[in-house]
Amino acid sequence: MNIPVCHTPAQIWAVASGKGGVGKSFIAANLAMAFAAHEQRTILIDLDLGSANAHTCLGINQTQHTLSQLLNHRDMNINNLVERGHNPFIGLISGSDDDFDMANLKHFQKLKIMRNIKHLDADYIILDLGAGTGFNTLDFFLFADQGILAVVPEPTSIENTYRFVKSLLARKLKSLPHQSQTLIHGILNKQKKTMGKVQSFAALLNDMLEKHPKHGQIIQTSLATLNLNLMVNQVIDPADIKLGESMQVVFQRYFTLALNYLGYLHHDAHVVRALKQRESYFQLYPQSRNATCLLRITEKIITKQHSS
Amino acid sequence: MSQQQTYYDILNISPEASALDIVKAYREIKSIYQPNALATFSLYDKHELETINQQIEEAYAVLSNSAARLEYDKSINKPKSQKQINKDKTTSLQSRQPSTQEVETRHTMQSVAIPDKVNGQSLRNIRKAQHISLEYIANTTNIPKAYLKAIEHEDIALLPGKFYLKSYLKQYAASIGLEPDQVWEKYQSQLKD
Repeated sequence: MNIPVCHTPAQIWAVASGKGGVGKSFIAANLAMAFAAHEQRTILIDLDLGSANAHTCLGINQTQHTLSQLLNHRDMNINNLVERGHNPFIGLISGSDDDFDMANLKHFQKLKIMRNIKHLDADYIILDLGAGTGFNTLDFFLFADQGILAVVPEPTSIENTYRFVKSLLARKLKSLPHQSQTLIHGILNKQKKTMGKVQSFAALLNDMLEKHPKHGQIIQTSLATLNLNLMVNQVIDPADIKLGESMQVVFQRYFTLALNYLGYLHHDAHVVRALKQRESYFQLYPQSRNATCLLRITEKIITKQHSS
Repeated sequence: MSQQQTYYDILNISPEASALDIVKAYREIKSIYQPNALATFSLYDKHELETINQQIEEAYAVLSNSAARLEYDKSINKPKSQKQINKDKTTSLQSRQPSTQEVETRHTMQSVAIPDKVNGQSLRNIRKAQHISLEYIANTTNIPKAYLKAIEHEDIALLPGKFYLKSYLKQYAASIGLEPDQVWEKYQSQLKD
């Protein structure tokens, strides 16, 4: 693939999911490897604060630096924290051996990390986020240019993904003008009284557009900045692949959000084998179906970015 | 203005869908909203799923019947029939020479009744109902698209000044078949509110 050299600011991608154990770190690390295979300068940042293990997925066993150094040293240049991997195009900012209170990042620390990420010298930056719906995770997800929701075809994963998106929207709406927020609360309270529970986000937006058009449009404008993507991991049956398309339809109906289905990765026992060998899956099995899928997904992303 | 779902929206297809597309879409959408489906897990309760399935059945019953579909298509294209009713209120459109598909749209476009409340959203809805793009208006009026967008979003601060707002709004109104002066009056009073 011939891809022109890019000197635009790095595109930031965040990988998250409501549930743990769906393969966020695996997806983030191997997506980063696939970008690097296209000769794109890529940096993976382990933001699974307090439970960092992206370095293991990337096959980097010894790390010299950690993200905590950025917070502990006033004049630290974030570019000096980047560990180099097997491929000259791949870099890692590890969370390995970080401070024990790293999981409870303070607001100003979070802003400092965000500010510094913008100064990284790269084409693509991948954020490997922690599970759950904590403010830090939601804020880093919203901070990214593009967000990937990682799911596996299991009810628990789907349930937690929807919960994550609801929390994300609630967090996003917090940044709206006070008057809009008051009106939203009014409609939600009315829904609870009359229907016994809060209805879909689409129903809320519809009510807002009907009763308070100006504020409804403010919500629509705010949502327009949200770029949601989906990856289905550990696919076994053809029906699992269809899950992504079905979720696109459901997202549109329930949340009025466009969900871009990036693609899927197959269930593969070699993933655990690569981890046991302390090697990157992508590096160890470059001919695997999943490596091919990742290359195809990243190629699409790169082509799209260059054409826009 | 609320966004009412059409039968086409419910089946997740375009209004140009063929009979075969409708059958396929119906099967797919039924599988998504069946009680044990994975994709909707935890989002809807039993009652809500029943309501959605009723809507799907209703949409399919109409769209799979060609006569009923034709009738339905007419009913959802109300803006066009309203235009016919209000022929007497026609306004002259400035003569320009667009070169796209919109030429046809424009030639068939009659004047449109001005709603009681004129704001950015209502103007946008009237424009969209006639399938007129902002690019087309920008090309024919030489008004930058960003300013046309600002009018539709009532983001007046983006415009160079009040004089321009009046001038741009009137040209915009004429482009979508509305009486410019009346639109300006109502839009202005709405902004003051």
